[in-house]
Amino acid sequence: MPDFGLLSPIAAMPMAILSVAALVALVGGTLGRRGPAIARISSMVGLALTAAGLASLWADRGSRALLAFTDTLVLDNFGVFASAAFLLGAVFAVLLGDAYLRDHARLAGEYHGLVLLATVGMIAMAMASDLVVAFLGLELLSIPLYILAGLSARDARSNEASLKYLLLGAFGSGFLLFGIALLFGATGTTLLSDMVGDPRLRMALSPANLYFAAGAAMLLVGIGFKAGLVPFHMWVPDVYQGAPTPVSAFMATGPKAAAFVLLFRVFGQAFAGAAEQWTGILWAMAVATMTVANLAALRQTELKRLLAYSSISHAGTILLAVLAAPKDRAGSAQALLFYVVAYALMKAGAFGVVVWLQRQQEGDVSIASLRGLASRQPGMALAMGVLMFSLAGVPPMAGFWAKAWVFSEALQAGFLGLTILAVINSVVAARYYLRVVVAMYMEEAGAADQPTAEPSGCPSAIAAIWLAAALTVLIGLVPGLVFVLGGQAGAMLR
Amino acid sequence: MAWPHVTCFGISSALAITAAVMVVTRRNAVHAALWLAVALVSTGVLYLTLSAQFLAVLQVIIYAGAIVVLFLFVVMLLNVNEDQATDRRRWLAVVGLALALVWGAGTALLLLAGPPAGTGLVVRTPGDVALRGTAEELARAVFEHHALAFELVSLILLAAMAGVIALARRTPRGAEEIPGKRGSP
Repeated sequence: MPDFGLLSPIAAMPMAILSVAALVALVGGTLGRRGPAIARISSMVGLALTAAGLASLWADRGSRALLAFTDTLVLDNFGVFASAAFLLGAVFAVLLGDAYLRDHARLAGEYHGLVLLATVGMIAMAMASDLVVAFLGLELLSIPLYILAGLSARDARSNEASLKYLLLGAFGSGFLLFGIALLFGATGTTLLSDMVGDPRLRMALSPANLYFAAGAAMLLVGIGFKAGLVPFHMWVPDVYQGAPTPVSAFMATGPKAAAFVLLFRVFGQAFAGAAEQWTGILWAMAVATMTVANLAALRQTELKRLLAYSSISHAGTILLAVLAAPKDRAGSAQALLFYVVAYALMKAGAFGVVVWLQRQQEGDVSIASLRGLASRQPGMALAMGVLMFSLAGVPPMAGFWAKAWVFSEALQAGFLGLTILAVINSVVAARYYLRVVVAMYMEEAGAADQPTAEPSGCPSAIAAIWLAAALTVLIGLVPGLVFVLGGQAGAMLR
Repeated sequence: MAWPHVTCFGISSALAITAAVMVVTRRNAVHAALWLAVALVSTGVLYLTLSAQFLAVLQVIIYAGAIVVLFLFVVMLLNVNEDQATDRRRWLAVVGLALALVWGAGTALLLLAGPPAGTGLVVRTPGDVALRGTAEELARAVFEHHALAFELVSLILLAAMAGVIALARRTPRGAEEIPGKRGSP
């Protein structure tokens, strides 16, 4: 028997707790009338216990990252903080899911179980120190999402979203796997902990440099697909629009953050020594992602599609943090983590409003249908307004600090031109976020825009929206807490 | 090479070749599938003599077990009769023979001349203890270095199973399908 010691079970504890909760939800969901309640309680208890477990794993200031499971899993505050952000996304998925499961109670067990399993996959990605574990985490994240996207059997576009995501996702995973194989050929290891440092140093001794470049490029394609970076973003609008809205909210928060955390671990940390090989490519991708997404978002009339393009545009901004990593790893990790938390709150809240609106009207939610919302539902319009301002990066919301911090990191790393382009893009983006606010507050509702039904109560969805809006403002006013924790997390990435 | 190895190798390779010839010459599709099982099992024994224990077990379980049974099911379900089975046989036989000759010539060349220099490839013989692929080696890799990955794979399979059930259960039994209708959230 290998001696894993006590560290491995401790490091795997969050994933183990969530997996057990997922099993209870999957089995409990089949138990007749009480099934949906059992599944819901199980996933909430599981998420709470996992959060407590993650809190107990938080290391003191000045401690070093620990390696577990024969160096394939790394236990550091960066991974723990990121995992907590994924849990936040899962909590919103559970709360918003109530509105959906009201009409689809028979799928409650599967919904909760698959959301929890996907979260286990994200945690595996964030804590991976081995490309094999990272790949398996990504698959464990993707497979539940393929299913969740297609849960609405009667909705043709939900089926389309599921199939499109599955086919393109399998293609992306193939690239990732091939890239890992080439990197193994170039370096003789799949362990990121062995690649950390200067890969070129060992590259210089062998003619394997081409394999390293090709492998890293394919890895970038695979992760870039999951993160929705241009030119691998084509699936995002269709899948976000077609999937059941609580699932879109889930996809926009945790999985996206997980892809960026992995991108940071691979490019910002392990391949930092070969930065000049990939900086140019990532630079171009960041500019293309922000520009293409913002120009496309300006033309959208449907709210879910608008939010999908907005999430692509935010992905381009987060990429700045990865680009700045080789210069200042701790600082850019801190900026990335803060951005990921703020972004998860804003996106979950905004999609939550769409969930709430869809309780009143069938099908698509157009921006035109928001007209006059401020007079009909002042509270909801206020929450949506806060979230839109935060997404646009207006102070004093969380979104402002997120952008400001990433921009300052990019400036310190010497990306002046890129930062200017990113600021210009933020201004362009403000145009379409404000259009939503203008529709709610300054335009009168026409006869065709009246909702077809009275707003039906869905307490947990409303609670989720208010939680997201309140936290967005709170973090905006008092950014210190998240900054400090993020700083402690980043400091461990040496 | 010790004599038990030689005997074992001789018997199983003779059996494999005989069974392979029988597979392509039988007119009855069920007989051909059963001979295929014999060929696959004797190939599995060849793997055993090469110390590739795990590969041998997989060969028997997956190929001789699952896949041949699948062939038999399909043959019996389609109820293929002998006339249909012999269609285009001459044309296929020529192609098959050509492929077999090319493959055989390549293998013979590799064995007689040795692997190309500089590739690091080595020809191993049966009984070579340096061979990897024993069940122990595999177990060490899976349960020591890749223990976490192994557990994650089990979760992926669980997610896939739960997902398939979810997709099958989406529509309540007896409910009518409305293709193209846009649903609620």
